Amino acid sequence: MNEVLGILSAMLSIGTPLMIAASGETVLERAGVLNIGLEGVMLCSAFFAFLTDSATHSPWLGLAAGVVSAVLLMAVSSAFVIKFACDQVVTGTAVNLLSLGITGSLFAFAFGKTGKLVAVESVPKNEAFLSLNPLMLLAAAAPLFAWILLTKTRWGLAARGCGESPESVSALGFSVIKTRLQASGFAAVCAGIAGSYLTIAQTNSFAPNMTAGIGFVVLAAVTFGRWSIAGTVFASLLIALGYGAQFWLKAKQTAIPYQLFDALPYLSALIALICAGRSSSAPASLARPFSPK
Amino acid sequence: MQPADLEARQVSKRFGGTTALRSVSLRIAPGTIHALAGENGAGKSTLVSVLSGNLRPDSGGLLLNGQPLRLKSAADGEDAGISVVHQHFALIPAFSVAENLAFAALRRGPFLLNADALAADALQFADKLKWNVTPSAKVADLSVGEKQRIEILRALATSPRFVLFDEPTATLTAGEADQLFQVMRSLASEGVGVLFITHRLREALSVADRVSVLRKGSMVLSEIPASELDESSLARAMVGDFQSAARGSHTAAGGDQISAQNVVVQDADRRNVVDGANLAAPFGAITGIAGVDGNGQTEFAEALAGVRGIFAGSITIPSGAEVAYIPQDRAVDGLALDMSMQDNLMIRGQRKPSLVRFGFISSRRRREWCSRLIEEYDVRAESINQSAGSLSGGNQQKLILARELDSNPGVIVAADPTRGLDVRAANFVRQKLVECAAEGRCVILFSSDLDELSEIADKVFVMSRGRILEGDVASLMGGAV
Amino acid sequence: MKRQLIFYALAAAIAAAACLIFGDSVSIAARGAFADSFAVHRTLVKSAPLALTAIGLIVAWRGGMFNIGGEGQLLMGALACALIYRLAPNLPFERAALLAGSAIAGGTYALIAAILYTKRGVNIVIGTILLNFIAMQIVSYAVRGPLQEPTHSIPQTASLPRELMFGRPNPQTDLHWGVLFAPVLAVACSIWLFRTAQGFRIRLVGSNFRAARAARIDADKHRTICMGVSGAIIGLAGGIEFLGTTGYLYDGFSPGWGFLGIPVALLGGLHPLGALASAFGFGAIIAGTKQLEAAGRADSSLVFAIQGAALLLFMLAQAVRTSSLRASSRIVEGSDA
Repeated sequence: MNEVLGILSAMLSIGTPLMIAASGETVLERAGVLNIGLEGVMLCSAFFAFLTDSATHSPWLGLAAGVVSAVLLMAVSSAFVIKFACDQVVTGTAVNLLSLGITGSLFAFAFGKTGKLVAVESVPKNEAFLSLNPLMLLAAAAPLFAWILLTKTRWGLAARGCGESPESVSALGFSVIKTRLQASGFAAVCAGIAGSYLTIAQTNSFAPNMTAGIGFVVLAAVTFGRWSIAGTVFASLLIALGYGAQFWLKAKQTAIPYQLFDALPYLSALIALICAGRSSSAPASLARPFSPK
Repeated sequence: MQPADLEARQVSKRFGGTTALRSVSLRIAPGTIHALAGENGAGKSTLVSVLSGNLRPDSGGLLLNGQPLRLKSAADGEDAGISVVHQHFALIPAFSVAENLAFAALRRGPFLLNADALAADALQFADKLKWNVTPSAKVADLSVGEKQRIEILRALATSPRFVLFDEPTATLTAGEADQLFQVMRSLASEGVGVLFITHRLREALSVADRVSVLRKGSMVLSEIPASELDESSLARAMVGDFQSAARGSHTAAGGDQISAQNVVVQDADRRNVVDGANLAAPFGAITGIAGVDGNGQTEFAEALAGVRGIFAGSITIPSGAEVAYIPQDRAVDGLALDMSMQDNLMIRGQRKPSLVRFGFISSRRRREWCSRLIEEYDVRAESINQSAGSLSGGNQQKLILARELDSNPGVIVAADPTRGLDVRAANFVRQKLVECAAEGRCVILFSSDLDELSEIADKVFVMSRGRILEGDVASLMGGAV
Repeated sequence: MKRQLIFYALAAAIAAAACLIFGDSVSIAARGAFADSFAVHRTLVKSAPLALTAIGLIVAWRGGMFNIGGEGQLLMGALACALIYRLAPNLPFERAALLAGSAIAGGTYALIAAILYTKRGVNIVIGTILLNFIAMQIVSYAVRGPLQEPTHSIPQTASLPRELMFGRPNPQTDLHWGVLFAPVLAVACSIWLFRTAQGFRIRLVGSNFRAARAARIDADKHRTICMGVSGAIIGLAGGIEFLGTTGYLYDGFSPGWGFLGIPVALLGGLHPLGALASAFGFGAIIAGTKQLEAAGRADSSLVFAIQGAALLLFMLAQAVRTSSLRASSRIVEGSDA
């Protein structure tokens, strides 16, 4: 019983940032923008949430700072890919490098290279049962909100139009650029919350490059989820279950190498892509820059 | 609903060097069906774009009920009550029927959207027309006829006063077309002004009240009551006096020929776009293939050139004959626009043993070869290292001709090689093709320009619905099939 | 050309500003990168893997294959060295066998992504990124499991003996003769891409695969070839690092060479010789930053920030849509076709 609770607790803890970030990324990709820089944006918000929390001892101010930093970095990235129609993969790579360098340098500058863990205040947690914390509510709220936004609003229809056929949206008198920027803003807030979560709720600390590919896992979850919110939630939960099982397995000392479980999110995403084949449900204009006439 | 006329007055429009519309006037009256006939490239679609606000004319303008009407976009046109049923569906395949219908009405309504409610207006029309439409079906899964119904519903959702049907019957079956005509008639009976663009004369005469004919950007027949016309007079107006040039004087080399027998080519959706085509094209002559775009010409040309595999049938080419291919879309299939002129010539050159030894390209020989071709074919450019995309359309086509014809190929498959070229460049291309035939080679020329075919082709066939037809070109083109 | 000039002018202006503001730090960094033969050796030893990964990436990108999987291919190259040394430590040409193994392993790993793309339409960008993370886990498993050093105390593979490693011109520095592979391969790839018929066909497929198709050139075949060669070069980069600097494999074997190679390739104008020059520049930045770190002025991660900023600056100076930067969106289109 304790083992089940342990797995569940780990699953919730990992699943929360995945679901929140994936909700934002799904909306953004449905609007036609592939945010390869998600990893960097999450790392950036993780660092600034940590920095603010350590200075003010308030995890909530930390969360606010994390979200603001994510929005600012995404604003730069969006200016490049949406406004100037730059290549989305190259820009995302630049954002990842920039964020890795800036957070690493600032961390070394502020806390030195002691290698010692700097602990910060955590958001309140229910230690008695599954370490539940209030941010986990957002893990449920974010996909729901994203789903309503995409399927039940006029804005969502226009945004999905931008991902399928930006020319049609433009012909209807809508601004593709404005709509994509709005989607990018939503994705930035989600990525900011998810990144902050890593420091103010999950580890209560920061280490250089601590995201360790979680942003790419989110991208894989969106692809694996076939760009639907429900599919993405399912993919995130499956990946989180893999992480949970991994903690359990490490404790159990089984013969199965735990790296297999670490690799599971990537492997399962790849297998899903192979199975989907060419009848892909990817938005038709994903990662294709649009310049109005 | 106020009865009002929509009128285009002396509209002219040029694209680069070519004139699409030359001082064209047209009037659409409420409660009538006006058919606009013309060949491919006559300017019909350009006129529709001007009438709907998608294009702004260079001179002349629109009048609504006698008052000047300025449209900045298709959205403006819709506000003025002008809807278009597009030739190529403007639907989003990944969306459901309801979402596509709601998408058209996107500019209105509250923030929270109920796609079904937004689509309701349009679906009312479906009920009225007794069409069975499933709002939740994905558009990608619908048949061509069903897609067109959605396209029509979408155009009607805004309760327009004028509906422009742009070549709606081109891809429909006969039964589907009849249903469409009923829709047009019922719209007209409710006071809507209908413009029906077509190249099929029988359809124009049977459904329209008045008929106009565009030819090469000019109105050659204007608002003639349909009762005063017959098919042959209309055909003559549309294609001019077509003389099947019975030249055939070039002596065929040993009676050799290219023959295609019952060729079937399928598209990605496994439909037979070329459906049992037969053709015998002799050496030493230009074999012309006329037809309206989208009847399988591109696929047949690609099959003849060996670019596309065939599903059934056979194509026989005498052994040793090299096939040159001049694709219809220069910018997409013909050239790599980012690459230099030299590299674009090397698309063929990389196969020449004189330029490539053991896989290595000799840069000196390449430069000499490219410079010679550019001079010989009179490609106007500052340097052979200039990108192909920086050339004018005519020079781009000369570059392709130089590349394809230099190796003295036995067979030349050319698809619309003069499309979009100015008169000088077009004449140059035609002259080259005539020379090739005179030298005893087999030229197969796909063209939508009947004047061109009548001028240089020795024999002309018509391609329609994936088959090759033989007979009187003017009447075949008119759709009297 | 004009755009490149704008970029270099902007970069020079920013560098000048940096000199004014952080004068001593910049001079420490410059001394660390160029001051004496030690410094130049440091720069060269860091430039080599940058140049080799960048050359590999360029080969793939020129063919329209947006390979972002350099990290995984490089790790697989190094892993092959560790594996071959473990299985057959006394082959007659052990060093050549290790290098050949690294190239084959990197090439094979890239071919997985190429085949998934051509046969199943798996997006090349996402596919190669996923394979990076899988490679990291394979390495993590190998250095703790079957390939762990004999004492089983540290997560790393057994060290190569000194005599199997590349020779060093100066035993006091890390510089090894393996760096010469970079200029050799840069010249070889330039010739292959720009002077041979096959290289031409690869560039044509990358530039406009429909024009290649109309010319009856098999696009998928050339895509597969360029991905295989790309992966082989990057795998070889892993093997050269293995034989040149560390001699063993561990989790942090690559500081991210596969990602660092991306800006090097782009700023090198997607030309192997240009990549050689830009790799030297970035190698100097890495060496200089190491020196700053030793002086307590900066963290080594500053390199990533400089690379990211340089890449953004380069994109800004580039016109919105040049051919090379459109590659990825074309790949996405292609996967849906």
